[in-house]
Amino acid sequence: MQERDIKLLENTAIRFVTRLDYYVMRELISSGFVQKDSYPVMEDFLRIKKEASQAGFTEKTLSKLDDIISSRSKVMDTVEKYADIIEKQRISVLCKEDRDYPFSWKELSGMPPVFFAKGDTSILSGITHKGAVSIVGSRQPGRYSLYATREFSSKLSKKGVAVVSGMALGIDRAAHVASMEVGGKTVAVVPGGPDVIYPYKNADIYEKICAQGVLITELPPGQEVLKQYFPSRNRLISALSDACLVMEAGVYSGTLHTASFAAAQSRDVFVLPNSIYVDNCLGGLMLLRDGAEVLIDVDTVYERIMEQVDNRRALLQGEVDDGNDLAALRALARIAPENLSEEQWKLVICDEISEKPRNIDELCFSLGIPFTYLSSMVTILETEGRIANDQGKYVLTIHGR
Amino acid sequence: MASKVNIVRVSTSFMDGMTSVKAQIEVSITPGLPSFDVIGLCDPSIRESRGRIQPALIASGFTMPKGHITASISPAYIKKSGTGFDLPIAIGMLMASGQLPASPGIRVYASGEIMLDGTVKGTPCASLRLRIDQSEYDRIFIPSDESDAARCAGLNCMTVTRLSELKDIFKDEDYQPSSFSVDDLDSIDEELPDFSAVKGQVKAVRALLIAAAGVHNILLLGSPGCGKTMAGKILAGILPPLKGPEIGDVYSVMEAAGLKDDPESGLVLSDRRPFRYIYPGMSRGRMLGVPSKLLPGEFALANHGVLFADEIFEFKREVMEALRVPLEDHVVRMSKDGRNFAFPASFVFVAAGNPCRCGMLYEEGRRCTCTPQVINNYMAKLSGPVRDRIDLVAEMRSISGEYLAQSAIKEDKMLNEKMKSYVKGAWEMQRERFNDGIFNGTCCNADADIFRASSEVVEYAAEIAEAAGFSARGFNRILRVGRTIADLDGRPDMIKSDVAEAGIYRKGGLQHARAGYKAT
Repeated sequence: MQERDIKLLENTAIRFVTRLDYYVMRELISSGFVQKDSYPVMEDFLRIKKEASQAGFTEKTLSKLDDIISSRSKVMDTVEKYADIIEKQRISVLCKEDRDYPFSWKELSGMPPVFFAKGDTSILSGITHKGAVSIVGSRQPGRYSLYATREFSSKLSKKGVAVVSGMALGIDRAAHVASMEVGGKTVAVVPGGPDVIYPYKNADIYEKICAQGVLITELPPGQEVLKQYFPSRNRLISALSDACLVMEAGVYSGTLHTASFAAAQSRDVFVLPNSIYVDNCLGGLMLLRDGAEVLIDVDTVYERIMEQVDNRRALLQGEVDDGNDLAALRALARIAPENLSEEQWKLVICDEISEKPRNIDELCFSLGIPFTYLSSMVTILETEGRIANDQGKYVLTIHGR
Repeated sequence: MASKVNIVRVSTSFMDGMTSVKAQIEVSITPGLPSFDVIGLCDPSIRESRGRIQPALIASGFTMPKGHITASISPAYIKKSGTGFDLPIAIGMLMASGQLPASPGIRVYASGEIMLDGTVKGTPCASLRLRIDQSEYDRIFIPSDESDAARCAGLNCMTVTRLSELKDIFKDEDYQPSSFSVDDLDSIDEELPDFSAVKGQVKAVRALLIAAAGVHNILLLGSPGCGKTMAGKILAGILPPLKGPEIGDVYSVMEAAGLKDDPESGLVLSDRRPFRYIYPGMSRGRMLGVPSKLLPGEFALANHGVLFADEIFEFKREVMEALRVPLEDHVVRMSKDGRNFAFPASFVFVAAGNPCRCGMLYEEGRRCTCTPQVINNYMAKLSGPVRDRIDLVAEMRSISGEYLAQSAIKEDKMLNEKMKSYVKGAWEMQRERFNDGIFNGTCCNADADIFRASSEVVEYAAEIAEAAGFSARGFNRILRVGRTIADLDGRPDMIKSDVAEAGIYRKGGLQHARAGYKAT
């Protein structure tokens, strides 16, 4: 395990063991003791404590500092526990500086600085250019809602949009399954630790999501599912997506939470029109009355998502300077292919394959490179072990991601 | 009482195995009761010439010589057969009886069968049989329907249609031979399948071009109806035309195989490279040839051309194994009566097959219904030695309408001509490197110096081979294909990207057969 990961785990452990809240953190940051967007560990708190007398902290902060330092051994034990689970279960720890940290979270406040992921984390950075949709709804949906969920999930997945949901039973489950069936990208945001399978009935798709998609959570490994975590989980679902599809929602349901988070985060909310005689649907209908969009066809949703993606790209344009931004590279590949270096071509090829497995003829057409050049590049990538040929189509290997 | 015996000698030739053997016919007419004997280890087809010659002479306005006639054919120790001896025997009789005026010591070569009405006809295997030393003869007569064979042999001779014509052309001043050769052969402009038939299949097109350019063996994998057979024909179409002796080689094997001069079996003298088609249901004899009759099969017929093996995975094991010798040594061997014969069989081997039992493996939308085990077993049917000799593997698939629309933009009417000129250029590079008729795909050793591959390139090829787990031969094949790619570009020195591109054809669809199926 890397030093960085240990540090992030220690920070997480301090936050969870001592219930360090944002109020205290804000004070520490504003007083200059803690850098913004940094991950203070025990060492830092010890240092702060030494100098705390001159700083004029509020009482609450001072007591919290004492609290933290006194629970030092407990924190260290917890770090060990986390590290153990993470190693065994191949969970990754991500923070704001990572490439795969969702771009859409960076723009919002209150998003977790550190989170845990199990599976293919590149999906998260892929959302920046391909967009994501959250599909949420009841745990006991009607057949109509289920049918619509499957249809919208698979159609949007085929277009390359990531499907984000909460891995609950019912609508969530159907959304994940339909996306994975067509080889799409799916993100499950769960209300417990990354190693906790909840609900246990979904154990089968838990494994599948970790293999084909990605499962993320802000809660540390081993953390049990608690009721109060559900709404905060929902805010992550809506924050990660560009549009939120409400398939079926009761009047007092978590789904409505997700929808209101989405609205607050200025995401488009689409509601599937449903029967007025089914209690479980009234929440959704109320959203419609309040001005949510009616979910009718895939194209409208996709258009909206792409609008968001385009906005994001425009934002990013100023920031990209490492020359490896894929959207920019793809554009360059079309306009001035001769300007791309070999390494850049390889990135473009890998990106193309990451959408879905491609045979070489398709690659040749979609990239528009001369076949001789493409084929030698593909052999090189294969020799390097970044891609592999599976039944006539090229797929990314673990190293290629 | 010894008296001067009137003996006339006429030469001819006959086939012993696959070689032309010179034969001398001595005809003597001695006084006595009229009789007519043909001797010299002849089989009935020769002895029956007695019955044909007599009426033919009379029908042609000659007379049957009076007396005791003996025709002796030497060498007398080899068993001979065939009706080509008719014409030389008849000429000998006419010269001996003075009906054809000839200066003493004149050296005559003749060959041909005679009908009762005096018509002269050709006999089988003419093009090989007529490979004679012309300088030994003053007069050469062949049947006019053997003129194509005479072109192959490059003869300077006169053709006869009827026996009676001899009267007018035998004298010194009347004998005006014409020279036959293949140089002035008109190319047959035939409508060949166009590359657009496989458009959209970039890899297949490129692989076909490389196969043609370096005479590499190629395996096309794809669902039924995706255009594999068409691809094979296209490959034959972009090969440069046959030249010089190759035309004769191809023609003579067709003759030996008993192909007739009709559109169906297609015996025609042309500079087009043969395209031969074999399929799993074909009898072993037709494919390999019949040793007891020394009848060449499809392998030998494909010499200098393309051998297309359809449904390669369905071939019986023994036939598959029989492919090894031609693929390795470029000959088909036969033995008859304790003697060994070899037919040259140097061809571009194009194998086509389904990638799995249902054939849909490479099709869009997961239409394949085979289990991994079934796919594995299916691929394993291609015997290892044969698979190792395949340089290029290209996957093909049926093209969807959406794709066709995309590729239509890039359609190129002159594509076939362009491909032909690329191949021609590559062949010229190889002619400078090797002798005629040897190519990157067929030369016996892939030598880095001859190929002008730097140690850097060789090491890189080894790296690719290592990563993909190829055999030593596989590594060798990558170098060969890489050399051809450089030839297509007209580059004297190989570069790394050549072998890198070569790697992609080597692995292709066979990878999961070798490495074992890996679920992803």
